[in-house]
Amino acid sequence: MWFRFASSAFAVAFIAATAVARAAAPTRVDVRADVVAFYPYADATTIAASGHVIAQTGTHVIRANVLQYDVGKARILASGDVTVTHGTRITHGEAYRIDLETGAATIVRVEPSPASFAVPDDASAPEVERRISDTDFKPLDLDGQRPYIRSRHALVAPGASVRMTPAEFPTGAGPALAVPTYLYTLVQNQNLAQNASPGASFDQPYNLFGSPNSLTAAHLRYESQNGVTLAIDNRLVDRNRAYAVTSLLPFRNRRADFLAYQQLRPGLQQTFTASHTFGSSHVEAATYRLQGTNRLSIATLTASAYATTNTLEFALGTIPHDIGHYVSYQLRTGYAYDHALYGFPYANDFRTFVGGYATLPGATVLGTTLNARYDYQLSGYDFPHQTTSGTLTLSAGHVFSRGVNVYATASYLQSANRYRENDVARRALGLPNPNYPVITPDGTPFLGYFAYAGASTYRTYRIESTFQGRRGDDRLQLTLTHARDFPQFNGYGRPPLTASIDITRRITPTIRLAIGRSYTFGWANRYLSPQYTFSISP
Amino acid sequence: MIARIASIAAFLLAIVEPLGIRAQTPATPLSIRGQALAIGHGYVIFTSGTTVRMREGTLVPRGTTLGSSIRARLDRATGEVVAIELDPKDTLADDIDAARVPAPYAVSGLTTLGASATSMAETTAPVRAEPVVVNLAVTVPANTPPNDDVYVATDRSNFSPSEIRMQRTSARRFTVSLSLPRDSKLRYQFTRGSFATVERNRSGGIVEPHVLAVGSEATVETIVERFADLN
Repeated sequence: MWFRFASSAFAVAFIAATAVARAAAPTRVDVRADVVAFYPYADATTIAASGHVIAQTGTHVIRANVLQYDVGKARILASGDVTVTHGTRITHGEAYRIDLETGAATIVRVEPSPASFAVPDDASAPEVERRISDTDFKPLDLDGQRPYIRSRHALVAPGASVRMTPAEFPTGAGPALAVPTYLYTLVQNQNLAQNASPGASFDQPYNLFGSPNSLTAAHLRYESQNGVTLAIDNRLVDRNRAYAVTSLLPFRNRRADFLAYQQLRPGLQQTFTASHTFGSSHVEAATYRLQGTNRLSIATLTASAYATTNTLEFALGTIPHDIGHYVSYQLRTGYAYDHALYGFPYANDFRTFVGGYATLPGATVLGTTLNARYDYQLSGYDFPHQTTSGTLTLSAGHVFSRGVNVYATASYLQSANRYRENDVARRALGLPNPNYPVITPDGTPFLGYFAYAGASTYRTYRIESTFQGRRGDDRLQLTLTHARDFPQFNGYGRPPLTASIDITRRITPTIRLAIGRSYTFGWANRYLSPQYTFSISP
Repeated sequence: MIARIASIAAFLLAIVEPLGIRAQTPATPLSIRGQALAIGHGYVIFTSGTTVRMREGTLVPRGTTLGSSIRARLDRATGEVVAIELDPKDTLADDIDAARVPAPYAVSGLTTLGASATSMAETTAPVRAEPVVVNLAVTVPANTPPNDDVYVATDRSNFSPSEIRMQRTSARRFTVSLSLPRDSKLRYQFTRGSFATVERNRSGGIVEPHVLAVGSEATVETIVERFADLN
């Protein structure tokens, strides 16, 4: 397929660009002790080691009873029977501090009398007595704080990662979770959290390798269709200009996904996504998009392929434009070419579309905020088919107190299919003939869209109420959705009534639990149909 | 009458002691508060550099380590620390900051000493990061689908795109309250549940995460100009 070549070329180009931007290799700092604790959420990212501490950084070896390593500021403080070996120099003292970036070091001794000395980075230069200031020794007071990870060995690549071997995660509720090794990335680039894999109810990453510009992780996932499965992915980032993510699900629903983004210049971006499913069925899909934005408009060129169909589309629209407070509109039009390899009787088609939305001014009545919005879309094909859809959405939100609110929407979607040559279109689209309705598995005849003169209506009434704790992590949401569609299918289509409850609760300082359950009523001869969602996050 | 004499004597003592004049009468122990840098070999060294002698056999509380907040009781007669208290919760009226221990008691030449003793009440004690509730509020673009949820992705979870679901208060406005350590920094972004729907700038480019410097309780207003998947 053409997109295989395109994806490879894109990846090579991206990786080459990233390699040029990569910083110099960081220095390694190796810390071993009876206990090595990692505090990423303290005032500064800190490693605290105690008991038979040995820290090695470059040519320095520091032995002490306790040690604190401020990873962000690249400073090490050691205390209690400190011995520092630096080349041929061996220094003893009660406390020691070194700035890893400048090499400036100070040692404090009490024998023969209390004094402090600046230790030159040059091992042959003599020590010089100097007084210390309040800012020289500033360890964190970690008493009472629970570490995120406990270990016996930490290998730090400054600016990139901390690897703890082995790694224990104290939960504060029972035994700690232990893994052989864990990599914590220090890179504060949000693009390293990009994900190319399909959505999952539960996805727990386990970092394997990292650098300032990349991260490779394994994922333990739970998908409702495939159950528990594993994935592995690699992310490459070039600051905020570009990223590329490759993911592989080698088991069950086996597939590979690729996702890349690059900002060519401000206002001009290209994205590329591709997926290859090689499980029970082989499906290949890819989409390339080039988008330019100026002060007034957005232009988008999209080329996509899915199995045996290909599409090339150009769209031009205005940017969302606000008039006054909450009055907004956007218009969009475009032209597209669709190709279906085995399409009959139409293998090629040119399509035009126009659409947009407008919101009416919001109003507040008795503390309730009211909004209205109308969306419209019209698509015309050069074979005899035209679709239109218009949606009116009314909403009302009311905040009862800081943590309790209700939000309700009523949505009316009118869609219509118009076939200028009914019989040809029906055959082309494979729709059922209204004169010979399809008998569905539950015995209900399905007449098809032609039975309703090509029009249908979807009415949705939804109300949700949220209760939120002061901490934000604790949350309860109740949602009730009522659908009144025409035609209202029985057994497929949308269920008439759905109720769901979502609970989020931080059960320990490091674990947040989210559980969701929903029921559908009076649909497909089933009284209720429970569905669960479940996730754990830091 | 006796009480009045005692109070006058205490007043005089308070005046002369900061000047380094040793009282001849039996005195109360000097109470020194500070962060421990090292304890051993007969000395207590504070992070300020102040070093005081420690009497042989003085018990060092279990758990005392580098950076621990301690109170050292010093016998004025001998100039030696006779007791160490770990992580004192209270502040006594006669507590002295370790950086301001009078010269007769501080034996080291490690640092420049304060000219006079100051009670802890007059100095700024180290503040442990206490939680502060911060309210984040966001206004989303007009083309946001009416029933989509909005999430906050923070550096606490390495920007997991569905980390914290926000509370919808109207068609375009969402809020959430977060409990964060005072004086900490939070970096965050808004999404609609996945990275395909992360916020972007007006021209579609990646935005740097918002940075919140946590001070006092506050409401932070943000406007999302665009989401990645909405043209």
